[in-house]
Amino acid sequence: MGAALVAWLLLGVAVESSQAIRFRLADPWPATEPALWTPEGQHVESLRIASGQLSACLYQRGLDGELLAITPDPALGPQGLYWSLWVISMLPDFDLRPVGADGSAAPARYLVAGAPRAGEGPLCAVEPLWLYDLGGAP
Amino acid sequence: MITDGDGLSLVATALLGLWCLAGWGPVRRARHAEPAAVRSMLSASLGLLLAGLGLGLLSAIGVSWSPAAVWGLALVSALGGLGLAERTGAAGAGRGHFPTFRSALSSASSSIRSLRPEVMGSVRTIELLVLAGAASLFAAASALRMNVHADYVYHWGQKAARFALAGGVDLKYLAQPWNAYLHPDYPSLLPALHAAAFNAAGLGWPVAAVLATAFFVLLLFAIRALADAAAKSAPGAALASIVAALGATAFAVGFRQAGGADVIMAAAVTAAVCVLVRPATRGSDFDVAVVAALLAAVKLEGLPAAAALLALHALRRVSAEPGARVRTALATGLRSAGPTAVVVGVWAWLTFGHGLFLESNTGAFDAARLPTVLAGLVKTALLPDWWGLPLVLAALPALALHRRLRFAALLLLAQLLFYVYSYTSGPVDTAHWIATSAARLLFHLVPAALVLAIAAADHWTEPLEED
Repeated sequence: MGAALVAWLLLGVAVESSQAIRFRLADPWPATEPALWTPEGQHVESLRIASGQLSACLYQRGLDGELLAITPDPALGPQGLYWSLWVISMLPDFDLRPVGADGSAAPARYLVAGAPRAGEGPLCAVEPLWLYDLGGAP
Repeated sequence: MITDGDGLSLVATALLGLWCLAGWGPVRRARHAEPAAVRSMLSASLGLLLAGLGLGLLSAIGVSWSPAAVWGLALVSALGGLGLAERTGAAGAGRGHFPTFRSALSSASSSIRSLRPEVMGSVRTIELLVLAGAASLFAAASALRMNVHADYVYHWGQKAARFALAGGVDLKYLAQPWNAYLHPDYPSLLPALHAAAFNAAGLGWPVAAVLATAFFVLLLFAIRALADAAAKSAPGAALASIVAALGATAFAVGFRQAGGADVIMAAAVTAAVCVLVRPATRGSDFDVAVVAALLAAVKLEGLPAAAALLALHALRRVSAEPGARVRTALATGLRSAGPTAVVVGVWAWLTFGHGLFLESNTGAFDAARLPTVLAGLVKTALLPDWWGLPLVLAALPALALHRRLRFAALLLLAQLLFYVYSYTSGPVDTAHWIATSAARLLFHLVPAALVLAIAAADHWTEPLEED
């Protein structure tokens, strides 16, 4: 019994490690460490919040730095959507609504619309986030 | 900009070593006769606590966490710990001025000799090799960014970086309404340790990976100490230790736990279970004091665990000395709860005094949510990443019938019930909340529960009501 349990868990360690390796290989972790981001005024840039085990999602920002869209990684399924919504729901003054839904219960793309916090400059609401520059527009 | 290459792992490791040395002296003085795994567990726990309190003190008096301040504090603390250990060693052993160093060298030498081929087959040696392999695997996964915790990205790392740049706990930043998602009301031990290490060794993931590995090693020490204390036989202890270590490794690597608070929370809970299995003596008040304070300093979830540990320990002490119930309870409470009171007092002053507490952390119990909560927890326990291990929590009521393991099982049960209560009372979507947190919360309990279950099987031949 004990040996079977240990063998089962050795298998578990091996499988989990290989999954972590696959996640790492598939994950284009940025060349730079996450930084406290400051706005530089790019027109459109792709940014990603890597959120570990649950999801990764793509953000797009517009001319004035507002968030335009959030696209959960479809490979991560409903949990990815959950996590993306959780992150975006913490950003104040933004209205989240689904767009481009294909009729399924979990639309793959969400539009984030809203104005930056008045009087505090653009992007103040997302300034504290760790943002990952994927290098260019999608 | 924080670049990929910043952060020197070896320098961070040296800083961690100094922090742990600071805890070594008091532990050696108070608990020099305890097994090495217990002393290691307590030394590391106390060292991290002292580092956190020292950094908090610097921040409170306006001294920035500059590299000089961080290293100075660590050096002074380590020298203090060493001095205390030297005095204890000289007084206790009467073998000159450096018995501690000699005993450390002797211990290391014995460990190396124990790996000779003729003893390689011994079960305890296999256990040590498995634990070393587990620590190495977690360290490698962390260094290679294979298992970065979502919450490191989401809030722990952000707070740590901000504190590092600010040179202390940045209460103004935490109090900004748009930073609510950073959990500003969480205890600041973890971001403070990260921030100090960032300023001392470089701001980047390599330093955070060192801290994550240290917390995982602390968990392994706690697992081994608990297995030694709970099991009846050496093979039983080894099996319990190996199973818990492998289970923790599979989850912590596969579910990506480096950089968050859940590994150190699991270590603290396992340590708490360990001290509740070990004999309830006056000396164990020290162990409880250290572990309860660590629980309270790590996460909000640690506060009820610390309270349960203190209450259960007092109950055990009173039960052990039936002739002096009130006096014993009061003395035990004062000795064991003092450090926790300090930790909680500082946290409460910072949190409530600066408007950091989030209303979303409170709510009324809603029994109608229980089916959703229980279904969510079962679903979480069956997640592929868990390999079925959380199902062991269903055995906790039965384990509570075992006299030797009763209080330890009750602690885990109390914490599990607290999680159920939280899920039924929080003013958020229950299913969503469980989906994004329950697997990690179960990690706090599963390693210790696994050890207890295997230890109970090891005691199988004993009647349930006998020790």
